[in-house]
Amino acid sequence: MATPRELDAFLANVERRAYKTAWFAVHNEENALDIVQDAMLKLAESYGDRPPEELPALFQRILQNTIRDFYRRSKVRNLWTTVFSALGGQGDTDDEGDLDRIERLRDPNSEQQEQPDAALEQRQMLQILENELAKLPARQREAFLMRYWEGLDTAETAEAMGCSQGSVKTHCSRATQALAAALKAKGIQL
Amino acid sequence: MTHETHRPTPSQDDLLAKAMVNVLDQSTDSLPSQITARLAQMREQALAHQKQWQSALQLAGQGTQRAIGGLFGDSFGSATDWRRWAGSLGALAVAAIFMFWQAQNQVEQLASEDSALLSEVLPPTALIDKGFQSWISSDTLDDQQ
Repeated sequence: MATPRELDAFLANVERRAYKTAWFAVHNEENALDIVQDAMLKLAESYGDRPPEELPALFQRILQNTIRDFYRRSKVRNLWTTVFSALGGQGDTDDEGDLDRIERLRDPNSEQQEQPDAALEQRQMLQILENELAKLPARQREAFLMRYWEGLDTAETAEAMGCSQGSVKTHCSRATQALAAALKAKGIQL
Repeated sequence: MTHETHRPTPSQDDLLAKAMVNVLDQSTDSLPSQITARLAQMREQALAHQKQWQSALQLAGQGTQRAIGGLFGDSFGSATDWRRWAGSLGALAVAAIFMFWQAQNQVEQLASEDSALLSEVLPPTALIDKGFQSWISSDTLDDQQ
């Protein structure tokens, strides 16, 4: 059974990556935070009595399910928005969303110019990598982040994703190749 | 963080992925302070809802029930058992009232006998005198004849 201290340590270790994972999926700061909050609460309320070693896989599964729930809710909300926009002739909301997204993808940090060249290059690489990750198919991104960023093994990733280990390997390989190709196309060699 | 780094022969994909997640790690280090503060707040909130503590309370409740069960039987606690217990207690109460009523009757009877004896002109010691008793019985037989 995980003690409060163990759960605290686990969440503290995983929360930032969880936020970024959610952000890659939903491209919105507030929504990403909401998703992480839901996932943390679900883990604590439903699985807080589990051994600490089970927490990483459980949390990833909850996080991915919460992201999927968000997609589902968004789809329903977008459907109604489309219906009302069609009736009312106002479609500004989606445009604003797109503009925000483009702004975010551009988002040149003012501090960049003060950074040395290496740090700037690193920051640009990170920006490109984040953008490319966000563009990946959801399942590939899930597999890649869980397997490599969270360090789950193939079996744990497969369990968290609800698919076979073979599928995990395929998703991971495709994601890695796609990211490497995108970076190479922008002149970045890892 | 628990990146997998101990694979004996990492494939090209693994090496590429590892290089990428090393870059990604920087993104978590440079998160804005308002986001890290929100994350810490969420963590606190989640810890306050940890299942373990609810379970601990439930376990304490179960422990008490088990202790009572040890005294009155293991099945103490279910709705059916409560009905059975209530029935038994009712029967016990009826039996206690009946016994009390009987004892009261007995006491009252003795009291009335005592008062009758004390109010009699004949002294009580005469009743335990054998000669007097035989005289009474012979007198009664004579009356019957």
